[in-house]
Amino acid sequence: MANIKLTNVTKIYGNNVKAVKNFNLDVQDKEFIIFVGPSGCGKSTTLRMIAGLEDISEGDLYIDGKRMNDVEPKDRDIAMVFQNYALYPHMTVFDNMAFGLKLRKVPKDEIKRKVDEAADILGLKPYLDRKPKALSGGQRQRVAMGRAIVRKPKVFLMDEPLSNLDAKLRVQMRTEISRLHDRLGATMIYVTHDQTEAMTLGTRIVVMKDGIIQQTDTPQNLYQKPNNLFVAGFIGSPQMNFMDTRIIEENGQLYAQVSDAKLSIPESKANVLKSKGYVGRTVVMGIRPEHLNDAALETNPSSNTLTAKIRVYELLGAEVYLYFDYAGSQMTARVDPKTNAKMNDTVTFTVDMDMVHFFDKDTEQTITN
Amino acid sequence: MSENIDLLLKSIREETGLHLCLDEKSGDDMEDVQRRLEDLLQRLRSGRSKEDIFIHFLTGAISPEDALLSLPSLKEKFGFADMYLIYFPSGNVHDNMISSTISLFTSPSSTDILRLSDKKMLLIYHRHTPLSAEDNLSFISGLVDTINTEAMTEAYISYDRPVTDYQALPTTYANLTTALSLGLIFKSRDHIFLFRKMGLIRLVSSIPEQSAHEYLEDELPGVDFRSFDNETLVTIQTFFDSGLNIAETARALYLHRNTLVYRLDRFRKMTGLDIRNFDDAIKIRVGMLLYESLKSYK
Repeated sequence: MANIKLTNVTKIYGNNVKAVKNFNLDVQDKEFIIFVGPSGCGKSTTLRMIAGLEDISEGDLYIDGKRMNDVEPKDRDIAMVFQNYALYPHMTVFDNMAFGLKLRKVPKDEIKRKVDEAADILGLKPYLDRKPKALSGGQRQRVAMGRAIVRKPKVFLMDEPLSNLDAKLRVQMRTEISRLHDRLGATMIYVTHDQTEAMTLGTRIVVMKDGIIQQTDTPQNLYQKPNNLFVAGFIGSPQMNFMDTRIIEENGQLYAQVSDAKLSIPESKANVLKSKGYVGRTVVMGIRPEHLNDAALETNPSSNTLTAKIRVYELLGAEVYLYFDYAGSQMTARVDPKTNAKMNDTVTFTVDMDMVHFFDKDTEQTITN
Repeated sequence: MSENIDLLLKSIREETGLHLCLDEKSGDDMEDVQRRLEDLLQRLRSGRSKEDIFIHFLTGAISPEDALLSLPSLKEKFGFADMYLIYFPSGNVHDNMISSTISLFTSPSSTDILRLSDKKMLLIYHRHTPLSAEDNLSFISGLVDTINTEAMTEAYISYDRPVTDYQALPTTYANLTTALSLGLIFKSRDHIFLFRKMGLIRLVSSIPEQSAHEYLEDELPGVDFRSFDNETLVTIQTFFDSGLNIAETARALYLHRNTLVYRLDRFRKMTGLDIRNFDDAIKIRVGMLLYESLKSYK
């Protein structure tokens, strides 16, 4: 069992700066939790507090109901895999994986059993006698994971373990880590700055900014129901498009007025905007690129459209990205590759208003999600 | 008393803690006294281990010439070496986990390990060819992360340019010590401190306390650095790192450009300084460092 509970955990550095503020999270046994956010958001600091490598300034950390604030890292029954792991060059794969157990004076036969078991899980059995320089990048990464697995910890803590790998290898290792989580049935906390990695790996994601949790949710909810502008812009690639929009009412119908476009707002969203007093006010409207479609490809195009000149055309095979400026914002549309739109063309896009998001301009919080 | 005798008494005091006083009324021959003091110093030194002598040399307590007397191989050994000062805030250098982990990165033929105190260790790597800056950083990052994950303790490492002459060892060691102490004050979230990248911090930390106060009062009146929260600090630091470029900063912070501009405008209202203006940016940068420096005096 490995439940982790963080209650109002705060980290204050010597210059009185709160790098992490009132962090609250309950991690259930076997969960795969991701901490994601930009550089400096506090995700690694939080992980290091769970590991015991950083002191907790305020608040409490519990692992399986036991308070851990003053417990040494080696006594917390955790294992870590960090970004800049170093394999010992003059040791074999077996010895690299066994090293931590030898330090802890584990009996030889038990070391052999644990290393063989981990090697089997990681597909490293044929390589146990090899030295690191004879391994591929992916194999070395697996040895680093193996050093953690042999300890059979309650919790795995990983801080950007794939950041030093090339893009192709990163994608491959991602699926291996996911598979590993299923096979081990262990609680894992994983830190990354890459939102794609977060969305593909985690059962739950904690999005952080400036030391504060912005939203803790499933990948689907983060994508479909972001709590605020930051989460909406951070999650999803290409990024969500944002425009300042004035909410107007004509004949009982609400519209989002953007430049020369007047987009009719669906009833469910309109009711919320009305009830919260946003009629006549400027809000931020967010539209994901896939919810802007080339009107020329639609048999019954919606009347909710905006028209713009294409700056950049990118063919990605299964889709096309069209970049344009509209109402002072740089926008991206993800359209069908059948589009005839090209650079410098003036294109009309339909806007799927059922999928737009509205945010308060001052507080940046969601209005309609 | 002669100058030579003064120097000998000073050396004995610094190296051993022994305070010797001469009775000038004794009538002893000063040349004889000098000879006896030299013998005493020599005997005291020869009773010390080579490691102790080397550490005293590093800290400047004994001269390169005197060090060479006790350690004749010093000159040839330090043809080219990288030194790393490691600090374990929660650990002990004699701890088996730490020393075993460190030993995996070293070899007896090409590395010296000096335990300077319970918390500090010096690693000296004798190399045939220099490491590139990138490779050096990669090595140190690997060392820090491995200490974290295997020895399960925190570590800070400072380093500088390689040493190419044994006579430069004390200066390099002093640089490492400076980089570590300043790094722990000014860059407390980092774990690796490179001396030559800390020029501005070194400069600011050398400014006398009174001058620092005067600068803050004259150039930044009414600016309350205590009110800078994490969001403000991250925004400012990212703006500096992005070369005062709005678009780059917004991208790095995953913010909409307008949101960033709003934050910078709010900062200007709070402080009267526009960080987009180069002169104001300099004031803020220097002011923040002086503020940290003054706090460390307390």
